[in-house]
Amino acid sequence: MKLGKLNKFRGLDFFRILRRDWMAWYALWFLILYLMVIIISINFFNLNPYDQQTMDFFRPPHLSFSFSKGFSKFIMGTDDLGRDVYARLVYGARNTFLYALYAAVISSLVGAFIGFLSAISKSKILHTVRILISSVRSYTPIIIAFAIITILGPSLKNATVAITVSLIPRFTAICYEITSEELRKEYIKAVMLDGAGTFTMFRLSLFPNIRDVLIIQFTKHFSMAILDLAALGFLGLSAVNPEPELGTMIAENMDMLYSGNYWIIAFPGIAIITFVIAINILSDGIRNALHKDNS
Amino acid sequence: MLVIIIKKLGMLLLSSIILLILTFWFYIRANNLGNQDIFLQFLIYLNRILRLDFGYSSMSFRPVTEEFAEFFIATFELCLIAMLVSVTVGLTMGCFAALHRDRWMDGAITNVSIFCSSIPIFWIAQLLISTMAVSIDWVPCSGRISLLYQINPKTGFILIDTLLDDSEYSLDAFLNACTHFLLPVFSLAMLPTTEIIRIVRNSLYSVMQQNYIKVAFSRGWSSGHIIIRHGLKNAMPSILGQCGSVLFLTFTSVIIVENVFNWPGIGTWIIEAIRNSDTNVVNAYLVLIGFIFVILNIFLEFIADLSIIFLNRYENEQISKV
Repeated sequence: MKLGKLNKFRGLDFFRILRRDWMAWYALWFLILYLMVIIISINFFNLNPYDQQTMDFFRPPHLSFSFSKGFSKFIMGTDDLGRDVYARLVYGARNTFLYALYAAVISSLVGAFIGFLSAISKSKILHTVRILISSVRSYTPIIIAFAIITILGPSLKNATVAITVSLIPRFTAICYEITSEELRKEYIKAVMLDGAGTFTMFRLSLFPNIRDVLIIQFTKHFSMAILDLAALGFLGLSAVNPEPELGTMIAENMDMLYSGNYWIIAFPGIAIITFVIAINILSDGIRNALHKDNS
Repeated sequence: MLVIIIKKLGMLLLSSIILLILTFWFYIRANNLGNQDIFLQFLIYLNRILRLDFGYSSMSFRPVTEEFAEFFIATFELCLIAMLVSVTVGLTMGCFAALHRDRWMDGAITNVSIFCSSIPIFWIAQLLISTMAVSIDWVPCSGRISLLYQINPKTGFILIDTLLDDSEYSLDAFLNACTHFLLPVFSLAMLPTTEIIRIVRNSLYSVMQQNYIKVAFSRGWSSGHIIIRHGLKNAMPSILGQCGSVLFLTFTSVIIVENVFNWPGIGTWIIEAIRNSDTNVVNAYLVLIGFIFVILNIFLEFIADLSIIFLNRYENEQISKV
């Protein structure tokens, strides 16, 4: 159990400990840089992912910089329809990561809400809801997406809904397990005997102690959502053709690989891998840092 | 014991009812039956499912159940081999990492498994095809067996069928089928392996810190003996409890792997059905795969609970002997 005064500088301490783990520290900076590149490219450069340059099919990647002209026109080349791969990559990365973030945030909020409430309150209704939700735990996002997409048709929103629905049961189960495990410990009973209400107990004693697990689970679900969204895009169940999305980009241009135009599918794959690796390393580093911080 | 069985049966019943309701919703929406008597329709639907009658596929005009059985065996064979590979590799690597805790071996295994779990399967599969199958032409890139071999399907498992075949080229066909397995199994086994490594390592970590393991080490027993007889045995309940996620991971990534390698299994079948909006096939897939998942999940939970009981009984016997 932690006291309020000792807890005061915990945030700064956390970053100091995270800094000792050089891999997690670089992963953090890499993620910040990555997001900056996406945001700056979209907002300050004149990029159009739909624009077809009819004279420039299959331009190989070419990077040059001069002060008079700026960057070369197609940094990562063009695809079979003469569209700028860099523009499609940036917009696709924004779509994939943003919608995966939506799925992770919404599913973790709903899951945490149901999990906490059903663990803390002894209400029969919430318990039933939790059991009902946990009984659909075995449905993976791709299978839920099959049902949704056969009826509503493929789109990025439907794929996100499918992933969100499939992530809720896992988060609920995890939240319920941690919370009911913590509630059995003695410090919670001590706080309750001191006369704290349920909400005060939750805010001051319970939540600080399960916060670490929640952060780790959230990052894990986020990286899972990215990979699932890309997989759905690859299977043709996510974004429809002209809309840029990383998995869809790879699926559309799969045959280009054999004609030697590697850059059209290499860059989207590298974009997914580096982002997900950075998130996973950061989550691992956060876990180690919190672990060292606690002990 | 009886309480656990009743609980699991109740869970099974509940999950099946929810599954039935969800797939019934899909059935109503897909066949535009919303304006008819829902209860009567549900009874008809239930009757059809209990007879395993899912109608005819609009792609091939064959009964859906028959097609499902045919394609499922191909998928099952691929999944089985991939699971065997990932369990053997994952268990040994996980034990290594747990034994050499906080040393370079542990760090290397952890970081490599983080790296491997972050690669999208479809991308690594494409990379493998373009390098191993197209550039240097070591292994074939698609299908279950070369089209030049005529194999009569007896069991449906290609590895068994080729060996059972009477023709003179049966051994050649077997070796050919084995080379067709290499790339799909590698790309399918990668993700479950990392998951198993993580599970085994974390479960063994907590067991290896116990006092009885320290006692065993101080007695001078070999580390392999300690891991197998004491470490894994006590870590088994928590490992088995998390095994369900590995199975679901395999069963979903097999869809992607099959689509990349053009494997004639459930995954290619269902994606083709969705593109042609063949609702009977999708409905059959949702019901049958859903039931398989539900039963597997509950079976694994049951085994995990049983192992806890047996372990406790063993401990109690030891205590009473002393």
